[in-house]
Amino acid sequence: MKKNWVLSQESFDALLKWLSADRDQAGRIYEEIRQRLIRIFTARACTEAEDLADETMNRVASKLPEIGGTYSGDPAVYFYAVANNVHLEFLRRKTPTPIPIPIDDTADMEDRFRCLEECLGVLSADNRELVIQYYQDERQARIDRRKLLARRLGIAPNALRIRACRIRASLLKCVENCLGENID
Amino acid sequence: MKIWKRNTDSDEVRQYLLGNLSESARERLERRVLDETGVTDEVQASEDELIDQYLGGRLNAKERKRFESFFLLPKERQQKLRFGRTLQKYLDSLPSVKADQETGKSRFRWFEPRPVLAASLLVICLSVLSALWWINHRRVTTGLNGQTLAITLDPGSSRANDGRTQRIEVPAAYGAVEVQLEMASNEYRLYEVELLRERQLLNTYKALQAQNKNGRLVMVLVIPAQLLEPGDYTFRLSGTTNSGQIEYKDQYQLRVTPAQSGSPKVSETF
Repeated sequence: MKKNWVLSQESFDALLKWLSADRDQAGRIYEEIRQRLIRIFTARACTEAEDLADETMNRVASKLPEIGGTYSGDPAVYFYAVANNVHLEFLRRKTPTPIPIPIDDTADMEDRFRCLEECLGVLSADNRELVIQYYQDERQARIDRRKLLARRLGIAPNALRIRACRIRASLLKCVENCLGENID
Repeated sequence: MKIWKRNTDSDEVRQYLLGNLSESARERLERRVLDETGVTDEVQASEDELIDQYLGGRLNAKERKRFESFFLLPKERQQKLRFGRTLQKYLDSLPSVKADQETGKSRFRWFEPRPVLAASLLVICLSVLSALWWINHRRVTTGLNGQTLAITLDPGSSRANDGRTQRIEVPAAYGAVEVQLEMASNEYRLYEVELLRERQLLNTYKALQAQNKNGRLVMVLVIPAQLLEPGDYTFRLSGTTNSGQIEYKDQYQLRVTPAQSGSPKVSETF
């Protein structure tokens, strides 16, 4: 990408058009790819996952005049290849330093408790019960309880696992919002 | 779409999250992250599990090192760790797990697909409704003779002590609450307990004796449920010496929260 290249409305429109002829559909694909790139950069322990994902999106947009007409295949694969380059550049300019393990003081924990209680109160009774039942207990007791829960809900253990994980993610978001932090 | 092979692929995802996969294996997995929703879900779930295992001290030394030096670098994961710790402490503060299993049983049983039992259930439901009406009527008229909610409190649990405060939802549906205060030793023949709400003395229970319940040494108090409105309560336990002097021994914390889901979560009922 040329230095000082800025994503213009024209470039953005061209990128959407490349993703799909239907603009709404293209918007959804764009956001889906961006979210998954963020997940990949996060999994690679990058501290600026969102910035790197945006950089990747912009870089693909800047390359479109060259590849738009000739590239055939899944655009996601192209994004992935560009993301790898962006990641390599990130590694070259940034040395990861060990971070202190976050420790909450008592006052902070009280706020978190209050927010968690509020957020649990917002959940439906079934989801609240599920998340409490799913994450309680230790070791074998936890395994047994989860098997029992899955059987009672009539779903596979992994489906229960994913459901609990999604409820947990929504709780996390709610708690962080409650604490006045933005994690979107 | 590929079928997700839970056991083998979960291990791979776990190694991926700890940064232990080879470049080719990582690329293979990441291409699936881009293509398959199921893989993204698996990554998220595995992240949560790693965090819970770390907090529970269940990672081995090597995994723990990778977790702290690699996994925790992004801010998003540090937030997840803080949240995981809060959730764990919240769950620890709930009344005993065993009883929740019982509560869970009754609650989730209704989700089981058992159409053949529908007719029987209808009859049972009618009987239960009648019984509930009778129990409720009886509780209103007899107070402490209604159902009793039993909870066990550990000594010294307080806000200053890593935030663990035992919690129950307001026990309005019960006639009484039996509070069992766990004791490490029994040095006195008689004890007394002061019950305070927000530092205001509500009642003093005198001439109490320690009891042995299933091998646990406890002090048992039976408190009218209507006394326990939402708020923070302290039970201050003292022993009475042979000369009649009162010596402070320990204190116990309880938080009563507003009811959210109908019936309170309890350690056991009888």
